[in-house]
Amino acid sequence: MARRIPSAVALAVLLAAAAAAIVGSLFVGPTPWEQVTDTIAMKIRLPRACLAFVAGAALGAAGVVFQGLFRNPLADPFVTGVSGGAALGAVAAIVGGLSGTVLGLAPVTLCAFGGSLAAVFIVHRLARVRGRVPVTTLLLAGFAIGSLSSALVSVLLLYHTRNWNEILQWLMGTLSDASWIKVQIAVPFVAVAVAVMARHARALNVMLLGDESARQLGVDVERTRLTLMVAGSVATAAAVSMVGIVGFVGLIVPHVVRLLVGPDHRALLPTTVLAGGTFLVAADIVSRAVFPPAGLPIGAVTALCGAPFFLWLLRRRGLRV
Amino acid sequence: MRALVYATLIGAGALAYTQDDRFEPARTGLIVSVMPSSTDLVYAAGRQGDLVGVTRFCNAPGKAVIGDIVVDSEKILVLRAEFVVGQWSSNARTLEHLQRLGLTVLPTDSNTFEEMAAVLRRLGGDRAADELMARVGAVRPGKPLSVYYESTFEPILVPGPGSYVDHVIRRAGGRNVFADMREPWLEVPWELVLARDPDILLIAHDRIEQVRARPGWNELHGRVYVVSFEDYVLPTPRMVNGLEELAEILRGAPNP
Repeated sequence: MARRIPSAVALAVLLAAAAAAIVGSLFVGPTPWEQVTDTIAMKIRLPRACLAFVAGAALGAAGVVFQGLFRNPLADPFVTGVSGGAALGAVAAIVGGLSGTVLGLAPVTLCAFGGSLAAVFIVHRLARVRGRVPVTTLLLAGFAIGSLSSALVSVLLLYHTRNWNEILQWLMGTLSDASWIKVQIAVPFVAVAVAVMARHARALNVMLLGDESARQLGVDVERTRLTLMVAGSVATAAAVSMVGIVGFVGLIVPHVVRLLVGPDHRALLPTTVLAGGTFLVAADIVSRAVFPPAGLPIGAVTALCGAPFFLWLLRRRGLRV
Repeated sequence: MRALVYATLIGAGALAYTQDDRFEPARTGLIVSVMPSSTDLVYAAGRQGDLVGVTRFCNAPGKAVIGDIVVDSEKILVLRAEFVVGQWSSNARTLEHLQRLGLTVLPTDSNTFEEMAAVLRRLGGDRAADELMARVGAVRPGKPLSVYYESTFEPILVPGPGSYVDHVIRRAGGRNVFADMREPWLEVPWELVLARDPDILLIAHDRIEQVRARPGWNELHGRVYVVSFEDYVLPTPRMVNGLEELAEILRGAPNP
């Protein structure tokens, strides 16, 4: 078994990396540095980096929680149908041509948020069997609602030819219209959700032993599962509605961090929050540096950068879930 | 990736042009259209009487609909069409398929007003071609100011060199603020627009309010105009409206 990094060391290193990535991203872009005005640095690049960090942190945290909750290494923040619902909401808003803003947010963002929460609610109601929500039915219901949503999105795309680019951009994840308002709105949701997850980190550890053992050890399994599911979904919904569907972060970052600091959720959760945020900021830097001027969709970059690194780590250290 | 797609399309378009020269103008024979702008060109050439099938997106009241993005080739054969109009740059797969079924392709791709006039002549619209070139020739170019053309709000899609809009801007006397880019159409981040601070900003979509809300909007010095998408991008004779409008804007604008 490979040696683990003490979580304090990991946290310190990641904090430094996060700060470096956010500051570093100020210097990366299509405009030569001499021409970068205060506006470009402070109102375009900095909110972009901060939004990337918040979204990456939220997706990482949600990934940790869902993988633990479902005891399934393939679980990611999207298993409960969040992404499908968000996509359907966003695409419906784009196709419907909704305009105007609420609280400074575009209709696309609001509809994505509403769609994602609606999807989670439906999945949870569908999965309930005699007052309990078994893990398997929850996963299957989430998968079914996700598939249904993406089918509906395809149909909408087929019958609507204007704004295709906008839809595709959203579906692949984009940071191009990041703003301070988006950061301000996303942060409270993500912060509260992560705080709730952190409070239940010990219960999540116990639940890894199985529902029966957890019950015998005094954990209210149904309640904890519902709370964590809501927290994970809210964090994911906040991220996805702001930046679109960025895959991979929520699936792979928790595994990478687990390999490095171990499976104890009390260490795993905060480290993944930092690692997920830093990873997304770094991915955005790569995107803009390698594919100027507009950069690749962030979701494509996360997969392109993350997959080889993860495979390398997997081969070197062996995966334990 | 996008560059690759564009390159392929332009390559296909160029290939089509070399093939075309063999065809005599097709002044008679039934036509189907697989592209809205091609439909408009058929009307402009005065051949709507021979047009028997159009797409769902075409503006051609009373014509049979043969499909949307995908067309129904059986229906086209039942309509006894001999010719199909479309753009190699947009409909290559459909056009090749119909070619194999025995139809003759009349491509409407063009990148300059001269090429558009040639397309009209090929369709039998000599008078329309003459009128087009007369209007183009009568345009007095304006001041050589930098012009920014925003095609869509999100992503911000702008014309680079080789696009029709770039041609219109140059014909009107201006210079495209993204003339140094490598692709005919490309996405740009908003910060690049801020850094280049164009003299004239043409917004060709209906989300001007959201454009005004972008960070740093107030620091731009250029004049802003909301223009019609159809007058600048769709390769139909309507584009001469865009040329005339932009030349007038450039003539009236103050020196930078």
